[in-house]
Amino acid sequence: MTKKSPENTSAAKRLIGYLKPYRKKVALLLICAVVGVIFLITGPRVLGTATNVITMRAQYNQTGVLDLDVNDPGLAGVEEIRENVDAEGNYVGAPLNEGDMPVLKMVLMILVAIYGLSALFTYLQQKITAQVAQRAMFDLRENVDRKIQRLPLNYYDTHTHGDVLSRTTTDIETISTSLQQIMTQLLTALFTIIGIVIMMFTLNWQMALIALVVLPAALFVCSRIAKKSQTFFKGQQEGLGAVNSYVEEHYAGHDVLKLYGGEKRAEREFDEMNDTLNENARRAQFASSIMMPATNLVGNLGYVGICILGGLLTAGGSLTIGAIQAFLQYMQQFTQPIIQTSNIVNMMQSTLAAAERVFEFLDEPEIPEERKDAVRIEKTEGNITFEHVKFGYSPDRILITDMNAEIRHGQKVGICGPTGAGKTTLINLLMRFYDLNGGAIRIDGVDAAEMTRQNVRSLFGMVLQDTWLYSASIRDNIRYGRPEATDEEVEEACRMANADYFIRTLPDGYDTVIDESAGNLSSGQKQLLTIARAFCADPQILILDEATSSVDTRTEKLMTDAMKKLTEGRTNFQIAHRLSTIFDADLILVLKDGDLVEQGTHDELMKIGGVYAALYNSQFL
Amino acid sequence: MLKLYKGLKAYAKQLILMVLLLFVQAFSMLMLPSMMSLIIDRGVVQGDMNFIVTAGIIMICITLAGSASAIGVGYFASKAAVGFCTDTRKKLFRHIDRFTLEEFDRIGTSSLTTRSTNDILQVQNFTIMLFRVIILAPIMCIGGITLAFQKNAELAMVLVVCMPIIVVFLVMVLRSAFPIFRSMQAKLDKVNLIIRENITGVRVVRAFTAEEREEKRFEEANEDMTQASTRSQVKVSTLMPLLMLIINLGTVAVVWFGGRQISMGVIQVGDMMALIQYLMLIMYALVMMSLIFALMPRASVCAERIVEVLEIEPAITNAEQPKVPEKKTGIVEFRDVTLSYGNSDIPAVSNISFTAMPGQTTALIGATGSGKSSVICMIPRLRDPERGTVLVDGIDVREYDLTELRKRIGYVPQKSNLFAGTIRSNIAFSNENMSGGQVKRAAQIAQADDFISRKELGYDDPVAEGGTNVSGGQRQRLAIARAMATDANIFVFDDSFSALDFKTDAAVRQAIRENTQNATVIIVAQRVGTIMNADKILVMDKGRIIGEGTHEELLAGCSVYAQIAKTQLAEGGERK
Repeated sequence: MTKKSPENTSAAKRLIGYLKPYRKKVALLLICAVVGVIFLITGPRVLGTATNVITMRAQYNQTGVLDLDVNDPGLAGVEEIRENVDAEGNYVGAPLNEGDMPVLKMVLMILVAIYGLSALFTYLQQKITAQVAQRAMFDLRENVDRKIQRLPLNYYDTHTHGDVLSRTTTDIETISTSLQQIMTQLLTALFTIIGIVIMMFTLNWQMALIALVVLPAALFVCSRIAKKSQTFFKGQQEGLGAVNSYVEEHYAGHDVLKLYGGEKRAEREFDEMNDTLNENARRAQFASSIMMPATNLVGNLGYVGICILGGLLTAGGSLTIGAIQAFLQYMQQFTQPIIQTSNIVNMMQSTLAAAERVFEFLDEPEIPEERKDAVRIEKTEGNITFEHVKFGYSPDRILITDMNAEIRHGQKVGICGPTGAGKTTLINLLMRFYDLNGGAIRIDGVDAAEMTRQNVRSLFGMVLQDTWLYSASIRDNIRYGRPEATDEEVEEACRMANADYFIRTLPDGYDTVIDESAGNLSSGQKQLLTIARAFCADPQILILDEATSSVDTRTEKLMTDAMKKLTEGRTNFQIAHRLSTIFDADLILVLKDGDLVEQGTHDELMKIGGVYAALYNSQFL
Repeated sequence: MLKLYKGLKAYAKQLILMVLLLFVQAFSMLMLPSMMSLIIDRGVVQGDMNFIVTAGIIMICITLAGSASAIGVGYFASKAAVGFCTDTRKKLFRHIDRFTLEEFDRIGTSSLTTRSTNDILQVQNFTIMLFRVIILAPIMCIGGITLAFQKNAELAMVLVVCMPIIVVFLVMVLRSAFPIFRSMQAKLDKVNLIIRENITGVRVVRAFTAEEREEKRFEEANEDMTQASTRSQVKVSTLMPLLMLIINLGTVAVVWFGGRQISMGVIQVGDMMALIQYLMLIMYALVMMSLIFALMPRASVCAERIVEVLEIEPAITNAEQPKVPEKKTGIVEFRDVTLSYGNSDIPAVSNISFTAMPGQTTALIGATGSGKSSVICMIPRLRDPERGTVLVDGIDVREYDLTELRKRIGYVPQKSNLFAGTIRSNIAFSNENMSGGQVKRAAQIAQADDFISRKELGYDDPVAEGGTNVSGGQRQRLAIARAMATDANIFVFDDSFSALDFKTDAAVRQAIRENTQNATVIIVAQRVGTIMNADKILVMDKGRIIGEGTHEELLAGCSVYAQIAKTQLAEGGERK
């Protein structure tokens, strides 16, 4: 078997750790597995006995004598015969052809019981496994979701959504589908193999040796093919990935392709990739398709070996026909677990790789604990001061060196600067999405760092360009910030936000469920909803992002109108892309390259003639 | 599914060979027990050692032949199935290549991508499975039962009784498990959806301090899914044990009846043993076949989705007898053009008439959704009008050869899509053999030369898939350069300056004007500043042209235009 890397081992250990809370059930399923396998492999043995009984009867009917070896294990369990054998090994009991064959009947009854119990225990094992595996996956998912809430925002800013999503969804699904299969099949397969080998040796050691040759040979063939086909499958996956991104790119840009006559070239390039994929896929499929015949070949050679050797031994009188039959059945039962084991070994590699990625996610450092002696502010005046604020996304790259500003109750603060100047950084600090490297932001004189994060955030309301809505009714989305809001309050908030009208035109009004990507709403409507959401939450301080350019003029007017109402009497921060929205601000913060470079009112800043003035002048040519 | 499988005709040779080999494989699988019974009955019982050895050697040959043909089956099955899917993918790509905006809108780009890749893969995997199992199972059933009847009719009846029980049972379990599987998929989607929402909306969730509520929402969905999947798994758990039980009870029946027949001297022990093994072989074949039925629903949905695309006839096709205009004047004329999308009652644009002259700039302005882009996309026939005609150089665009028509137009779409390759390959998109000088000149007009030269490899700097490694403004400039690098004499810009700052916007427009003196330029814009110097401005509202003239004329005569101009340009005035 392949050597596992230490990370893999620890991922395996941790994955097994998820079964710990269910250790009683795990023990139970192990017992069921062992018992089920024991019954499963006793079956052929007892069936062999039945065959022996039949053969003996045929012999007895023809010759009138029964020549028996009392110690023949094939007679185990058939006490009636054993007890009626005399010293020469001749059967002296009641004639066997009389009545309805009581001995055979008894053997077969035992057999039915064995088969029944084997089925029952296999079922129990699979059922318990399903329950345990699903529960363990439930726990893993819960941990992952809880982790999502506990990671610092920095994590999301430094990892792509795609990466986080693939760890939290695709990888988890990989684990979940294979965990159960591994648990059900691997144990049974191993137990079965061991059990069969033991049974064979107790029946006849010469013939068992054939199995001992077949077993490793089959395992070897299987794992070689599995390994080979894995590399081919990787090739298929890569080929598919290449075709996929090519197709995606070309479908997305299909108009460009047509406009510039690129179709022929695209067809040529596509054909090349498609052919490579064809080659890889064919190899992968072929390799995996020979797994079964190759293993069967080894198994069947064993089968033939048993027929020949068993035939010779039986003809020589040292083996019963029932024993041959039992051996043949064991040989057939052999191939299945061997194929399963080698499949599972492959599956385990990808499962552990997925588990490792998930555990890596779970091991990411979390937000520091909230302080126990946190100060709590229920209501704020909305006075905010920046005191020698020092901040950088990493300590060795400080962006804001020493920021000081004072904002009083009800003031409008404009934030502006060229793209990438760090406007969102200020929001991150205000909302305590990130902690400062020095200095303090005070709310009504209280250092925000001394409050809980939740407390800080509950004082703020946010209306961002990125209009995140979740899949629920519009009503529930509006009351997202204040779940206890009544329907009337929700509707009032929408009226204030100029959203009431369009919501009522929707087929289900306030109960309209928003699709995954809110595809049933225009981006302007989504922005109106986020404004309504802020109205409903009724925060004392606001952070607003200017409307995007993708909104038509009418909706834009509705939005500016609603924003104006929203900001009345509340301290508010506005991120501006067009300077016209912040001309009348009480304070304008001008950012450049991540740091605050100027502050003041419009007139003051124009007088300085610095960054702001340059920005302002570039809008008019 | 069957419709799609018509494409398998090309692989008739492989398929015939495969079926022949399947027969050999089935024959060898069934022959082994028969040979075994001969060894027992003639070799063992009569003590004929030579017979045992001879029969054994024959069995080895049978085994080898069987395995070889099974491998051959795998070879031809993979070759046919994978080849067939490769062909389908090729056909699909070429078919989609002919689609225009309308068809792309109908199915959606991402769905088309999925259908071209993942759906076909599903069909491929299913088809291989199908090939290897669907023919083998009936052969095994029929062959096994025939051989059994040859041995003994009474015992064969046991097999005949077992088979329908197994089939009925398989159908029952799968039937009851399918609905749960389907609802489970929906529940799993929900769990993943919440995770996705929690990740994409992490800022909002925290801003509204909704972490605990989100955790609860997730826990509910998680619990729901866990229960559903446990239920379905438990249901499936009954399948194998019960199947085995049926088979084993069948075996017991064979032994019971066989025992009687043997004691009466009708059959021999070996015959009975062979029958037990036929039963096993038939059972495995049936179980494999049931797997096919389990996989079929999913694969057939995929196949249907592929066929659906293949059956869509693109609305826009090449003219049968294309006309070529005598002169390349560059005049673009709209005559009373109306365009509707899909089943919409309200036309996207109606009764559009105007002429764009060479050497002039014609601009369209209006709110989002007013129909500006819909108008211009009819020029290169990305869509066709419902009524009215669009003429280029005096000829209806529908009478052109498509390639010929589009060569005359340098079109910059709203979304500046780039393709994986280099900056050069993207600018020289219309002609792979374009000279370096021409590429550079185009880049200079688009004000892109500066930032390109600053790149590590200059014009040979790589562009990632979809142009994701290039910023929005740069991407837009490269898209403009791509158009400027063509030999077109009509240039159309669909809101192509939106990501540029005011200074660059002005510089690009000026360079375009200087370098395309005799060309027709059509610009769609949202910013008045971008188009106020145009020779002719068309103001659009709700799909109609409601004003036409120069900036000054419209300021005085068109209230909508005056309104837009006021909100966008007034910003200085109020304060100064």
